[in-house]
Amino acid sequence: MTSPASSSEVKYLIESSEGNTFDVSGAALRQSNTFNAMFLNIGADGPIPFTDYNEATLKKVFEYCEHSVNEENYSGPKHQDDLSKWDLNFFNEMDQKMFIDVINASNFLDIERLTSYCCERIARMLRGKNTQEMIKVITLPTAEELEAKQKVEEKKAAAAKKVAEKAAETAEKTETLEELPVQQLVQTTRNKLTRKYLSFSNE
Amino acid sequence: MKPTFPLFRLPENVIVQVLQNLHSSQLLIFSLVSSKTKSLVTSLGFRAFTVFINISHEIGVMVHIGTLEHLSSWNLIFRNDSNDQNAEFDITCPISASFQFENKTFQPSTPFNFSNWLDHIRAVFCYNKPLHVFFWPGSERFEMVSLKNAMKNVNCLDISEGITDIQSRKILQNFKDLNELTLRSNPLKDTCEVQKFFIQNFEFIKFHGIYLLDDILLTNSEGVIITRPISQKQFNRFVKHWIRGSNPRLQNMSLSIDITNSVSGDLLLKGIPCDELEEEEQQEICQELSIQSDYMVVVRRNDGTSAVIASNKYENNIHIYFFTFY
Repeated sequence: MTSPASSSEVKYLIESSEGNTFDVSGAALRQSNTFNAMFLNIGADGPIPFTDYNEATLKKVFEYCEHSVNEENYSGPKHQDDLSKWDLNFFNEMDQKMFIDVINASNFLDIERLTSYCCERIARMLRGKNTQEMIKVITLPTAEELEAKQKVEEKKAAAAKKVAEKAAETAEKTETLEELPVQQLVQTTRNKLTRKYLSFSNE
Repeated sequence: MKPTFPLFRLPENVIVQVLQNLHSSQLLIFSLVSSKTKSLVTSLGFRAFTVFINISHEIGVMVHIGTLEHLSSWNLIFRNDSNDQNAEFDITCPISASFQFENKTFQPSTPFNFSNWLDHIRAVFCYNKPLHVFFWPGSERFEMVSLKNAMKNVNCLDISEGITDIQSRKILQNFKDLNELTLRSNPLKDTCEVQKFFIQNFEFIKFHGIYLLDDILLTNSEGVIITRPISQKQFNRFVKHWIRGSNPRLQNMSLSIDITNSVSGDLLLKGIPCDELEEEEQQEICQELSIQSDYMVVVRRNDGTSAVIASNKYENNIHIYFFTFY
């Protein structure tokens, strides 16, 4: 069900922390620089494991990506007042936990537009505040929370490693294909794509 | 969403991106929250390129950050709670601050005195140059030694109009090692003592008071602005002295000449060998030095150094720019 990103119709399978998979269009996924760096040119063999993030979060993130597929290329942060009605609804319907999860996932996937809008949204909470008010807003972490944060960071690093390994593994397979004569390579890729689309329609 | 937000649960690169959305004044406040927030703001690498301190009955710290293309600035005000503007203002005590045109005060988690505030601003906005300080009427309420200790390194001093001579003398006694000095008048008891300022090796001196030709001839500063007009005859004598070797450090000087009792400016360069510059050269110099001039000549002194004298006539004055080329 996954394939190289040569066609705009390509769908990729994404695996969440629950082990669930769902598909995302190549166009939406290409907004992720992390994806671009790892899979864009080589494709992915099997689901892409973004297993540090739950299904709801990933779906929310890719909902945003799907929506902004046809928007002009990202050209730096936009003022909150310039956001479209859809964008505002997208942010407003999230509770804080989901918002934090979305920022973290967007940051990991390196989706510039979404991360930037999220950051601007947080910055708005800090504007016009004095020190004491800022302390209240940002709820300074306790020592335990700092420790927990470090563990999360470590876990994320491990997840990133896992994704990188997956990319490397796929790359190895692609390299094997590249050693074949051109005609054979075209046929092999075609067969591979056909198999994937067949399995996609069977699901 | 809740009015609170657990910012530090986010990865550091995201926190940095959040901070990049804030104005530098807001970043200052954020940096006061904790040592962690201070180091985060410092890590953004925003650099102050000037810090001006205005001392009147209150203290204003004006900070310009960034580059001329992307300038951000703010004026931090330190006020005394006392209603009496003449009551002593002890800057060694903890003090809160506010931004100009905002009544909302703020202070760090650990109370700061004025010196701590300056150290904090210097550290967070990577400013290690000396300060430029302006004294205004009302500054009498501050104890000068405390001010000096708090500001440490001051190299530009501007004593404004309305400051008493006694206060000016007190300021000058405490702030030495200056590169630039601006005086509205001679605060010293004897008129001829003004030479004490002209004779110093400043980079720049600006003087608005009364002076004599002899005072200018003693000038050791590289740059001089004198605002009281002199006569054409006096300027003519100055140039003749310069040709013979006076004011060897002088690089540029701006002054005005009163021509009320004269039909033209012919007396200015009488008896001085000089060459008029071509129109194109004049335009080039005007553009380069951002000046206006309707007449420009080159004079040369005996050691070979040349200087441009650019003049611009308006009403009863001729404004003179004198630039040397070493």
